[in-house]
Amino acid sequence: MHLVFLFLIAQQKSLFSQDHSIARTWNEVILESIRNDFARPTVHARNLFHMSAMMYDIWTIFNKKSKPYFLNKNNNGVYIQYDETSFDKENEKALHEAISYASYRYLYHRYEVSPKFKKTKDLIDSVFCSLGYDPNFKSTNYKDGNSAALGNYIAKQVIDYGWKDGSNEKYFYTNLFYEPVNQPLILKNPGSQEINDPNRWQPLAFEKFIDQSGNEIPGSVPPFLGPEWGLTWPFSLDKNDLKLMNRDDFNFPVYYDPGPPPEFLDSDCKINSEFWWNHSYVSIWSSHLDPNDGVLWDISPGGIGNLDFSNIKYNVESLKGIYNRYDGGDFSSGYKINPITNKPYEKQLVPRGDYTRVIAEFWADGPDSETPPGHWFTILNYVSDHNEFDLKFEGKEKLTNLEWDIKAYFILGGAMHDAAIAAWGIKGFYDYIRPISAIRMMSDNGQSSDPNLINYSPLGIKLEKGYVELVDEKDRLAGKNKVNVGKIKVRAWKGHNYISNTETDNAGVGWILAENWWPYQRPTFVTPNFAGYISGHSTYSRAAAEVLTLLTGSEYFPGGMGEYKAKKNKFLVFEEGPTRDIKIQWATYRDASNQCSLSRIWGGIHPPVDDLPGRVIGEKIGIKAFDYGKSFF
Amino acid sequence: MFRFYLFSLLILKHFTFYSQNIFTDITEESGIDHIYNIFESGGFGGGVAVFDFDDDGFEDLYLAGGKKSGVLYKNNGDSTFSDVTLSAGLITNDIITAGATTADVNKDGHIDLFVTTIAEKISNSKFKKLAKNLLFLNNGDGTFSKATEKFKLDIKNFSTGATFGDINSDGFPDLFIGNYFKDFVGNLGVLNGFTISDDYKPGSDELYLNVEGKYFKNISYLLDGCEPGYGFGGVFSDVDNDGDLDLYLINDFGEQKVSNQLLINEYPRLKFTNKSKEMNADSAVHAMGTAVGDYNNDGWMDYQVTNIFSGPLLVNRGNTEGFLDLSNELGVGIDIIASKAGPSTAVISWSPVFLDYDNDLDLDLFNSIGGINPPTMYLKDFLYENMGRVFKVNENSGIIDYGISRGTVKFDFDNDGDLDLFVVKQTPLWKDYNSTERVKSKLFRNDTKNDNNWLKVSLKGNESTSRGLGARVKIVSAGNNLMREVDGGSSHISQNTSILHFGLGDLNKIDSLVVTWPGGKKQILTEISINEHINIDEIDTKEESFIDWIVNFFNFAS
Repeated sequence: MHLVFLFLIAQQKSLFSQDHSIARTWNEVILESIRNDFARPTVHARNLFHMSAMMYDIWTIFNKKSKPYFLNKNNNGVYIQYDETSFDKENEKALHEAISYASYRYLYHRYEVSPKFKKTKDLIDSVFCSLGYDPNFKSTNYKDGNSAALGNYIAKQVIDYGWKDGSNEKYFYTNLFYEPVNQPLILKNPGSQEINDPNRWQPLAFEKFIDQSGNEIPGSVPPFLGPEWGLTWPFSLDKNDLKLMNRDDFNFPVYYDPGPPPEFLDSDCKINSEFWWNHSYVSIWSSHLDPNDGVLWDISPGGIGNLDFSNIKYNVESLKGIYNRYDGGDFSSGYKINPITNKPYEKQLVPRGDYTRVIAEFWADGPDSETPPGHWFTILNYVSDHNEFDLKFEGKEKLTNLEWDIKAYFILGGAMHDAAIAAWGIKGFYDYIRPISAIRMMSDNGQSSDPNLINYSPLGIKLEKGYVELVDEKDRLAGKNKVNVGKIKVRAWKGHNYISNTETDNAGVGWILAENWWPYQRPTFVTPNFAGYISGHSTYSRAAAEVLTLLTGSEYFPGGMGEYKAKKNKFLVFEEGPTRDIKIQWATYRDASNQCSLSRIWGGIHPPVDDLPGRVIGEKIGIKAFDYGKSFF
Repeated sequence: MFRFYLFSLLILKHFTFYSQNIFTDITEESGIDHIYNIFESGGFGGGVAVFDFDDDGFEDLYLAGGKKSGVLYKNNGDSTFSDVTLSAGLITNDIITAGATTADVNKDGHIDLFVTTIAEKISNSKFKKLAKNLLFLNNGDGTFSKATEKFKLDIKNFSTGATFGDINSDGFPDLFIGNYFKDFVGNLGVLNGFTISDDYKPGSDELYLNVEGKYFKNISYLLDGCEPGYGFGGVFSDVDNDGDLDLYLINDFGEQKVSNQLLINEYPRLKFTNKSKEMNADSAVHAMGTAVGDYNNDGWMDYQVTNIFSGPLLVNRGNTEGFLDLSNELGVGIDIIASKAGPSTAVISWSPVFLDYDNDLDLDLFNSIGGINPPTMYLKDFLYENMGRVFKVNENSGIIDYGISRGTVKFDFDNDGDLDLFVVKQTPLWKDYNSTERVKSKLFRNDTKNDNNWLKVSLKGNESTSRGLGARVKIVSAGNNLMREVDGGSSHISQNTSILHFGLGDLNKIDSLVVTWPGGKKQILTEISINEHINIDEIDTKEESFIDWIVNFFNFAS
């Protein structure tokens, strides 16, 4: 209980800071509500968007200049009536009241079915009551000019809109058609186990039970989150970019179809080298997670950033020009000088294993986080709070705190919502396998490098000295009675079996059997419960980066530098670390987005071919959402 | 300002600590002394049926007995029960009874009893698997007469759950019997795992048409597309709101053999169409029992199926769009019970029962929990409170004991307007040295303390079956739509009360009440008083059309 109170106190200090707008207050509340919910980025993107658009619409009622998004027009066949009422232009008290009542009702509705709703409820109630409002005032009759009733009314309309918007909120967003084709991978067992179709997603089973007859039963298998999310009504996505793509008698709505990812087999019924190249990337980069391997990187914007990937194709030849397979990272040039200060960026030399682990966790956005769409709202808030940023829309017109927040949330919310719809439409249709399944499956098959060596299979993984090798008789991994001789081993992050206390132990990097390979993620999470292709992180992040670039009128963070500090031995939660204080730094929003994308490879959940299409599509989404959103102003 | 708020939060917290148990174990005071005696160390059996056999206004209990005789407990009306098995002529010593259900089979106004069986005595101490089920006709004078053969129910089978429903709306209750094994050689105690050997062949279920209260005609061929499964019975219910009774039948080891099956009644044709897949009702689980209830008050019946681990809660999307299993989303997907002492346990649930225990307008959900046998553990059965959009375990149910729970029924034994529960327990394989009392079957009295209103409805069929089995009652009040169906047999091999119960919260007026009798005939009532038990007599309005006559004629002729 004490924790809750301490938390509320800390929270309220930041929530009621003098400089913050009422929109910001409620944005912080929804972000915390998201942290108390399941890690379901599609649902939260929609929640962020509907809430931002709702606040925007209320603001337009008082601003009397900008066009509303929902009100008095046909949105996908839903008409939300608002009768012009005598709300005084820029009556701040009334506006705050309307926004607060609307947010309160809306958050109650959208997060009522949250696993930690008790915590969320305490927060929502305490913020609302501390602002001096009465939760028992439930009238929606705003026509006599009651702004609290206006808030209640608009919230009710937006909630009702949500029942119809294709997200299937009525049935808790569950899947109406989708069924996985592969049996779950029981995480307590080695290998990829039963994979019927190596091109398709495999669910993960987090527990297993053994009955009195010794039979194993998989327990707790999270279903695919959002394969039908393409059905949800978007913000700015265009029907011209939409294809209905049929699989298993279901038409998946796919925006910006990137084409299929590499299949497991090539035309000769051997392992497709594009498939192998991509998925084995992830185990190789897993070997970079050792802070003691002596590799130091300059992680300042002078060393990393400024990547150009225009005209990229998604085949290996093209991808090779972006990613550095063995050393890690991309082939970006960095910045010679900070264009804002006209001085070079100060070098920051840190162990690669610290940098990679820190960004893998910084961008993990899994359990207890605000998820990727929420993460970019926190980055937007960071920019808005920055001393060197003066709230100029497109770098031109200076706005008040409230107007800036209202407009920025509206557009960023729309972009995040569209990114979710596009990325998950593609995820649902292609239903592509994740690295944990692919790496284990290729290795279970054997090695395809040399028919004269042991354990050859044309469907096996390829051997790469120092990263992917065979276990020989003298090997420490050979095991009792040499049972493991001939199996594939990988040099990689060794996994949670090597960590008994996450505050004192780190697993380190070394040779492990490929059948036991784990991504650098929480043991309770392992890999997100949806298909990999295309990366949601890449799509969201690039879209957000484009929005921030256009909103602020500059591709650079204020002062030419965005920064986040990760404390020595404090920041990491999957294991002990980092070994020293580290500053995550970015010159531009796109640099932050690119770093987020790469962090998913080190985090073990996306190969390059998941990542780049996400970035390319995200860029289109961000620009389109900005232009569309701006057209309302 | 926020300091003030923290203070008020503290007060709220304080209030939530205050609580008391909802149900009270009054088994001992009630005079009920029962445990289901398992046969051959197997986990089978333990059904219970609720019916007012002596028509005195207090519902009585029939309890299957397993190796010992089944028992008829007369409800004395003063919260005590008397064992009247002997005088009723219901001693079943030489046969292993499993489950039970009731109906007025011959429509003489007295409710008859049907008991499923799994084995019979062939010599002094030897039993043989497969036995004839038992039909006991109620003579109306406190005695029963065995009428199994007379009613042509003489197939020997390994029967578990049976359910009555009037599939052709002729007023005579028809019968579905779930059968588990085709035959079984060896000791049933070998079945203690989550999987089953192919050596044990599953049984074929039986469907019977009641021919004018004279005999049952075997029409099992109408079980469209139902391959033999490890049957635990099923339920007659109107799945698609077309006014007739469909059949949802459930199977154990569905992952391995045959899943649950949904058969849609094509009334007025005597025909069922298997729509299990199409309507996404083919849950392949270890189905133990099923409950019927419109938990979200949307006018479409939903179904929960119990299982090893949490079972599906099939939410009816309506308009034949089929079902979605929302057990996890709705908060009833609990697979594991953490234990403070010792390892956590997999949930094995048997009897699901929808009931509005706190009379607050929405259906809550009860699941009895019991090991496969052994072990005995101090386990809480699950009482899920309907919170509006989701369910939440009510920690103060008061239903916690060492017994191995099986069949469970709801009924208002003390006629005080709230629903009580009876939970059958099996004899544990491991002797419980501490007490034999603590593992026995239990009567739980509902001691919910609130001022919520309620309504109880008994249907008196005329053209329909005597208690209107499968008939549906909807009440409308201040925008609330509540719907119940009369149970002909459900839960785990058991039958609930046939008196419909509605919690009304603070509603003090019912705008209208609509009865839909099987076949689709509707009867509308207004001016209904509340906090009462009302009887509704069926009004004769149905006239057989020429088409009906032709259809019936040919159906009987076939």
